[in-house]
Amino acid sequence: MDNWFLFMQLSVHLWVTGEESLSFSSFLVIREMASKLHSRWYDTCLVKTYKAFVAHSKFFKPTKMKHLKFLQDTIIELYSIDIQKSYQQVLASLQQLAKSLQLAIRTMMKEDLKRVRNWQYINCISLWVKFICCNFKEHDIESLLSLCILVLKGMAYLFPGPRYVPLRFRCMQMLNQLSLSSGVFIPVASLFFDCLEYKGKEIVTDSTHGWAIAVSNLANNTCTSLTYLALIFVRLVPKNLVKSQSFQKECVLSAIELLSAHFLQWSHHISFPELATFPLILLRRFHDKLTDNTLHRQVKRFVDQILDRCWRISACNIVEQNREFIEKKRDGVSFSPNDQVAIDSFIQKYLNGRICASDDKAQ
Amino acid sequence: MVKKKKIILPPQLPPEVPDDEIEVSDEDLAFVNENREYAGFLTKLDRNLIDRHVTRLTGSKEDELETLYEKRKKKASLKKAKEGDGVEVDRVDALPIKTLDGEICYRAVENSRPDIAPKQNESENVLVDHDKSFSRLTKAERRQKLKKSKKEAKRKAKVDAEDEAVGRGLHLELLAKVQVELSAEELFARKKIRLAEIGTALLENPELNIKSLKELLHICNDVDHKIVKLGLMSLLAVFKDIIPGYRIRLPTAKELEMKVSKEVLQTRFCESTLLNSYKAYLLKLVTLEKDSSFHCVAVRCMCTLLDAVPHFNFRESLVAAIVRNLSSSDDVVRNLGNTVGLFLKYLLYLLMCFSIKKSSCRTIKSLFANEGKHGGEATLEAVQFIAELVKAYDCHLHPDSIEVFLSLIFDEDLGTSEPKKDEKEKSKKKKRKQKLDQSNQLLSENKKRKHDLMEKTREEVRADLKSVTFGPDKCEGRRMQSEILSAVFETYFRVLKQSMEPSVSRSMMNDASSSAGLGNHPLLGPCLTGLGKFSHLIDLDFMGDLMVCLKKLAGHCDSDNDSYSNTLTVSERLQCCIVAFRVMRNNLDALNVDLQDFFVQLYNLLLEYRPFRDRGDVLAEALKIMLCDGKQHDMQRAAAFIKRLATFALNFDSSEAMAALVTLRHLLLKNSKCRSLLENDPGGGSLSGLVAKYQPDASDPHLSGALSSVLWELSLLSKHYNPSISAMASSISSMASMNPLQTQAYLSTLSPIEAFEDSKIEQELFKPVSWRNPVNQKSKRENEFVLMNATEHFRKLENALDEEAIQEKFEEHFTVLRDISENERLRAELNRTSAAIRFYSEYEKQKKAKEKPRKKKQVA
Repeated sequence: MDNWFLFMQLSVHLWVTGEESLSFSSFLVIREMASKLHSRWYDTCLVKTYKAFVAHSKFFKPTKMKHLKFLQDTIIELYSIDIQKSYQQVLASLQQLAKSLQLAIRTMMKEDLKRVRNWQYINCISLWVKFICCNFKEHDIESLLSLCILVLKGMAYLFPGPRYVPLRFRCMQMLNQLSLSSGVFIPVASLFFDCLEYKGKEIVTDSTHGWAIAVSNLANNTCTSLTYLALIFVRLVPKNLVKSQSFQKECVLSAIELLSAHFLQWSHHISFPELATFPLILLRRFHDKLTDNTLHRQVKRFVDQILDRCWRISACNIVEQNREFIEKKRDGVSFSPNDQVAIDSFIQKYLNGRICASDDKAQ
Repeated sequence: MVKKKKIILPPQLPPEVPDDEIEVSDEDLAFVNENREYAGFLTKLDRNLIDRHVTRLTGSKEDELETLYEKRKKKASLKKAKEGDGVEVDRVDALPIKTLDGEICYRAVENSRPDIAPKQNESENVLVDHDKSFSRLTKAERRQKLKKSKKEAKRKAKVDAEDEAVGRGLHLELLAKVQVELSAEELFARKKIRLAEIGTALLENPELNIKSLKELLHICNDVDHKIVKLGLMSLLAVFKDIIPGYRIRLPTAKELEMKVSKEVLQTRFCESTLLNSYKAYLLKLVTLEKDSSFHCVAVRCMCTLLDAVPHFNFRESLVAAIVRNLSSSDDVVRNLGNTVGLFLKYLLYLLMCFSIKKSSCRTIKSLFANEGKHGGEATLEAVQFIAELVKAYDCHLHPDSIEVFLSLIFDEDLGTSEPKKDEKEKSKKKKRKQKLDQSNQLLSENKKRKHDLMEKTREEVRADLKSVTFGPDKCEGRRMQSEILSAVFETYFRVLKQSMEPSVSRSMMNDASSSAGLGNHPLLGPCLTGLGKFSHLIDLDFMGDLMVCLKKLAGHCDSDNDSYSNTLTVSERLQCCIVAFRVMRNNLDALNVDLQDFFVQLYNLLLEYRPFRDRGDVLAEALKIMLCDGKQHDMQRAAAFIKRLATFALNFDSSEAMAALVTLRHLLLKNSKCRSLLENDPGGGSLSGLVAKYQPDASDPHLSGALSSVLWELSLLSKHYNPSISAMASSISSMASMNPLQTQAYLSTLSPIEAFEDSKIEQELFKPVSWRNPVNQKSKRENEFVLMNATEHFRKLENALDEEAIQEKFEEHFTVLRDISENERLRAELNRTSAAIRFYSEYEKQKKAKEKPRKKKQVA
């Protein structure tokens, strides 16, 4: 008995700390134990792995990213073996997260805020988001979903201001994931509006300090700007960087990326034009302001700005085209908003149609 | 204390006495002779060495010795000369004393003092703070003590001087410094004791000891800053305690001529002295408050005084001083926000106190009539001074300064039961009153009051019996209240005006204020809140101007002008709208103002709203007041708002969305024709009027053509993650089939504000989550995940890789193992052979040994 326990402890340790293959083999051992042994072992397995994961995700290094992802995936697999049992664990963990968030919202003390704004917290929540995404289709875990959404919204609510933009983007990203996998509508556009607002009001200054350069350099290396931003500055953006132009550019780009992900999900929906109304108006205003600024800017800056604008205009246009398309189609329909069945059929019909149309365009 | 640091010195040499002068008694000789063994050490003593040690010269060289000796001689002679007229202090003979603190003192007379002094300091401090619980002495005793202590002080000063002059060899300079400090400290302690004594005496029997107030005042002129501060504080404590509960009126010349009893004389004397010294004290405070080192103390004293004795004479100058101080310390205010905070806190506190007093006076009128009156007056003064302050600063103050007004309590009975005309008259009266000379207000106060009273009573008699029963008290209260109100509104209007001004003249001010952490319009927020709160008390005359102001303010849009310094935040603009509607509502549409502009503003502000930057509760309130509570909307507008709110709900968080949906439902219920929005009616264009097609980005609700649109949003909203929102959305979409007549029966009771509060993120987080186990799998499917497949794949790959590696590893391992066993075997063999060889060699030896004797034998 004790030997088994020791064995499990050892393998969990190796799983967390080991190299690629070692960690993998120890995970296989853990899984075997969890699935083949008595159910009591399954519970201890879950607890142990989760604890080890939390302890391990305390500090963040870009090089460890892959390993962290692997750990998350394996945990999800472990937890997915028996949802009936693991449900309690996940719920308890989420409630713990919610509790510390609650405390932070209530007191707004620095220590309490720090308890939310750290890598452990973010890794945990992203772990559960992934878990829900994986299992939502097969299982009835709606209470987990709603709690998770609440925690994410609360996080975004707790940290306003431009210095936390990456953190909020991360939240938006996760909300998008949840929405995509569950089919539930989660409005995220409002989180991105104020990002545009900073831009609009910002007086452009030519800042060429180290951070800005570092950002642009690293952004080129890593995959996308968004994930990069989220990775580096989940905690707090340095003050001088907030005003730097490259950072703001990154912010807008990632905001558009997120927004497009959000729109993509509902682009086939009948309410899409309404969904896009507000962001579109704001984007247009923002765009107008930008052109105003560019006129007064140096030629060198002008080139960069053109790229940006292309991005933005294209984003606007895509949205616009799509809107027009659906509006055109919709005008030909005769049913009313309360006729759910007809709407669903409409959606199905034009979902396929739209894909074809876009394919045609692409060709 | 200081003495502790010193080295404990060996006793000084006894005076030089020639050998022949010493008489050795016979007994001594006999004793020495008898015990030669014991006394033998005497002969071995090295006199020089002892001398050197005793005179602390061991370290120095022989050549320097002489000079040193000379120096010392000189000092000794000096000392002797001084000691002649001083007090004998025998250093050598005095035994050390251990004080209660555990310090060892070598000189009894000098050092016992400073040890006691600090203790007295402490007790004195206690006294200043609590001005009670001090052992009381009779006057005579105190005087004696005082004299004694003074004498001692003199003596001590002398002794100190001596010490300074005499010094002590190597420690001379250090000692000198220490002594100076010590003397200063003792002086300080002495003064403190004096303060404490006077204070206690005054508290004990103010009438007898009233004269010592002057002495206290005199102490406040001291050079030492600490003493002055202490003096101010103790005076404050004394005044707080001895000032009577009434205002002192000095006797007139006639009254003075009259013959009065001894007691009356005594009282008069007491009062006049008190008044004079109070005046002097206030003057002192006012002058000191300009000095930066006394600034804090003086202001604190004044504030405490105003708090404790608001009814007493010179209150006006006190309030004026406090406020003037505020305005004069302009730079200080900007640099040190703390000071402002302090003042404002005090003011706030004051106002709170007074309003409480007022409310209590309302209930127990007859008992506290006087107190209530004073309280009201003080409130009025404070309010007026704040108004002046705001004027002086051009509205760049901390928002707290106006938020204070919110704690005012206006008597609803007095304010509203009276017709408005009355108030107007009062304001006229107030103007008249203000014209009166302020300087001799003291004297004219009574007259004025009488005059007012007369008028009031006449009015009352004419008007109503009911109000007569409450008597002049009520009139007084009302007058006070109207004055307070006018001051408050004056301030509010000033703030509004200032916010409307173009920013040209304020640009410089802005820089300064923004550096101090204040926004562009720091006072606007509380001002609007206050206007909203007191909107029912606003005079009708101002109404028109107010509405124009608000309209302009609400229309301050950043898209209109590029200078950002002039823009208001969305919440502020929403508040403007709210206030406008409040004012209108409270006056029951007495004046005809077109509120259309405010609706346009709200329509556009919904676009500007940002969840983190702006206050959601303000938005909810605006929705409630402007859309829910209003009577009837025209159809175009209602439809436009319905459409916009639905779109709004799609983009924002659940709390804002909920508020919007509640309002939407309300609008739909009220405007039955707008329910056509719920149906996709191809013939809907007939209703749409001017604009045939819906234009979402139109800024005017009338021109948006919303009637021709359809509320498609609801279908997406019914997929909302928040169950209450999705339920609400589906309930709204089911309203289409409702009978257009059955509207009133279904009116919801939930207001947007409540809805907003309910679905706030904090609230949502508190809601419990069910612990129930999940229902079984929705769809039976092979529970195989992507990752699992990947792992199988992975495993194969890994296995393929591993086999070779493991084989290699095992080969290595087994070769090593084989080597080891081989080695062991070889070793064992080696051991065996070597052992055999050893045995063999031993055997050979033994053999030889045996053979030898045999050979010997053989030889033998």
